[in-house]
Amino acid sequence: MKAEANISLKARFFAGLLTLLKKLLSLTYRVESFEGQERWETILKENTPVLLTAWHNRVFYLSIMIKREIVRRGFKLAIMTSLSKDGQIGAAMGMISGARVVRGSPSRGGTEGFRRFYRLMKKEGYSIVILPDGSKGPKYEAKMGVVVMAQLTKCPIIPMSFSADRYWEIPSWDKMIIPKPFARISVVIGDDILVDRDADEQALESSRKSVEQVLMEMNARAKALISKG
Amino acid sequence: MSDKSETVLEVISKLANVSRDTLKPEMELVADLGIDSPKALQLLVELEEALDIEITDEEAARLESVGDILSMYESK
Repeated sequence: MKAEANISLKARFFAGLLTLLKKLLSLTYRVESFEGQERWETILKENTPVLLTAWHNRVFYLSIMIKREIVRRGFKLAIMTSLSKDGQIGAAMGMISGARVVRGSPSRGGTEGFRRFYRLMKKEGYSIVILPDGSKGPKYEAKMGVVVMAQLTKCPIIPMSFSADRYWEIPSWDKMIIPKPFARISVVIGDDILVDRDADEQALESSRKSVEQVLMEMNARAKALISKG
Repeated sequence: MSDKSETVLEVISKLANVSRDTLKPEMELVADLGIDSPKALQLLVELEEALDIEITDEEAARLESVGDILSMYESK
């Protein structure tokens, strides 16, 4: 299934508009602190496969940050968007960013989507973005996909978060955070989370909980950093 | 039962967390064994590795029961 084939003209139009809006907003943002910047630089420099992982409601600013690196350094990145109408817009935005787009979600086309992700990582060296509480939540509840993908590919999970001193909270299931114009931003990149290839079900569950815990701690850390500023 | 079938059943029983002896060909992967998308990926990757074969997307899409998997592997 090719992502391009399933995207309507309307979705492409909205994607273009939203991309422009994001670009304009991003020009006004000021990153005040960046914890884990050294690890981030290494990831971009090495360009070897990793699983960039963040809560769904943190994707707005993080996608701006990642897009910049796809354009600037040719960072090889794939994203998964759902097969819904909203997913079409996400897919179109991903393609505008220069990312490889895989369509699928746990409920529809999930296995096929996961297999494409797996092959892109193992055979073509792509990194992927996984939002472990997506695509429909519950908010801040990690699903098993991220740890299984890390287990099978033997690639590290890179937890990410950000906070802003002023932002809109969209009344969606995830309470998406969109920094307001001229917001001060803090970014946090966490330590790698590795999942053993031989992990059994209990170990996978433990890793899943660990991803949840780390991402929550990083939300708090990012918020603390911006509060200090 | 062939070695291939034995390997297939071992992998399924491990992932579904059920005893190898309780598996029956008519059992459905999702409804009876709780094989969701991440587990289905595990299943396909582990079977490809264990039996050194490649499963196409079309083949994977047709797999709905334990019997479907056994038939596919016997035919390879």
